[in-house]
Amino acid sequence: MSKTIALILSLIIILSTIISLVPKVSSQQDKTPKDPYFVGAGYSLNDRLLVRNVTASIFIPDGPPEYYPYSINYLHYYVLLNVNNYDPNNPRYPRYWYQFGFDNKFNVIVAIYDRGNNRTSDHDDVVWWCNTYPLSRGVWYRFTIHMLDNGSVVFLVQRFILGDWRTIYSCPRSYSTSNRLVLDDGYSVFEEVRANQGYERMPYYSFHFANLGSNERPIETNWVSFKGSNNSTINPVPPNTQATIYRNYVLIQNFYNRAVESIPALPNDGASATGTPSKNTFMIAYRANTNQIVIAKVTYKDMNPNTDYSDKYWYWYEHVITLSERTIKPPSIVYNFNTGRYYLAWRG
Amino acid sequence: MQSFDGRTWFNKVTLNEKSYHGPTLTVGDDGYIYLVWVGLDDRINVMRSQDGINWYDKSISDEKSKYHVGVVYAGNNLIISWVGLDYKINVIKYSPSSKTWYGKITLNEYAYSGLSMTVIRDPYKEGWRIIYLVWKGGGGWINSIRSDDLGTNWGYKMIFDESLTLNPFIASNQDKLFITNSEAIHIFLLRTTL
Repeated sequence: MSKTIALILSLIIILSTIISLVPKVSSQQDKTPKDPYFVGAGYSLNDRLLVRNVTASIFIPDGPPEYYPYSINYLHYYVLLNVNNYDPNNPRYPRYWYQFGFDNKFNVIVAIYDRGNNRTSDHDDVVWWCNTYPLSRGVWYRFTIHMLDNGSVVFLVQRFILGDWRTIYSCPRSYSTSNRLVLDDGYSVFEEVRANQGYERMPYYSFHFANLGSNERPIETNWVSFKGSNNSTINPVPPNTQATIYRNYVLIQNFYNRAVESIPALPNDGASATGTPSKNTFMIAYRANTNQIVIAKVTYKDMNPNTDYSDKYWYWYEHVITLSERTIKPPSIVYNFNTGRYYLAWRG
Repeated sequence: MQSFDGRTWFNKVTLNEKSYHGPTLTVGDDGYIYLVWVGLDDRINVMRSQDGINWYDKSISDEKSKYHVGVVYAGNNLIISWVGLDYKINVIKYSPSSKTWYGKITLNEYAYSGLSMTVIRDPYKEGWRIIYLVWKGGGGWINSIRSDDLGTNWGYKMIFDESLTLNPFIASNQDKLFITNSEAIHIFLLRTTL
């Protein structure tokens, strides 16, 4: 009997130890670094504009959320529409500002920041939240921040269903100092990333804001790209990441898969590349220092959010063959899906 | 020449065409393989083939370049980009069926390398395709720009944190973009997911 009790006690101790090692997930601050970095586009029109609503369509990537519930080194990000509420008593430093978008689990996020009457702090504001709402993947949603006549603010999410934009989410709140939003340098769309520097840097998706506008300017084209960090020594912005702009569209592109392969005496011609029948493989062709043409293959894996980060950054470079053909310029390689053949052309 | 696996190559042909620069291949939805090159007179040439052995339907543009050109097939046309003699990037469409060149535009972008293009399925709009173009810009940085309307309008310019390349190249595979860049004894590989 005593052995049984001892065994049970041992099991309890072991289980308690295991449970204590699992990171807390109940508090956002427990699991995310406090110093984020930002990649996005800010409003660039010099004149301040007061509007009743701002709108952005946002595409939810058609892939698994990059979210690791059981890992300490995990990535948290928000894709946000960001705007100040106009304060007639303090136009340059308004009391309320609004953020509207989604988080790394594709749930709607609304945050109303309140600097208080004294406007003393930027970073310890009171934050008022709305309920979250799960969004579907591979779908466009229209996000609108709308000021009502009575000064209330409403956060709307609409989805295009059967030829019509239908409201699927609405959160009204009374936190405002006027019924206008301010379009100035405080108006922006961006991705806010809170990543553990030692491991993850950026989600693998590109994020697309489309049809940016307001009731005053339905097609808003005054955007300028930016990126920065609250603490660049802890969370530097990843390289090869940038918000790119076309008219009233902003696309945040992240070339996350940078790899460096050492190849003795590769001439500075570059390496022509082509896709292959295998979805994660590219074939490349380049000129070696002997002027011979080299064929090589690069293989990647798909991101697997249920395992760990290794698949995301895994790649395999394979030398396929060094041909006897010679050139003094970069060769060109292409794959033809119709014939199942690669074709190679070069200047002899 | 051609290969099923990239390892064994066969059907080598030598064309009676000359160039100071590397040629560029692309495959059309019409089943043709297209070869685009800059002739000794700097003018842009096009030929096509169905088997990679017999090449015909040669057409010569009035446009000139001193670098290799970029080319994709999209919307029943070739979309060809080149660096002009003034280093500005130009784009023109070429209709293989009528052998006509049309729709030339000059971008307000300067390149100091050959150009490379790829076409990729638009993940946001079913049936649409996106064209990407990369080059070495001022300061030696890799630049990219893209068109969502088959080469007529261009935007989403990106300047990479990669410099001192001579000829960046770009390719696509499903929803992935892949950029190669070489420097001395290294080859740099960049990938993203649209």
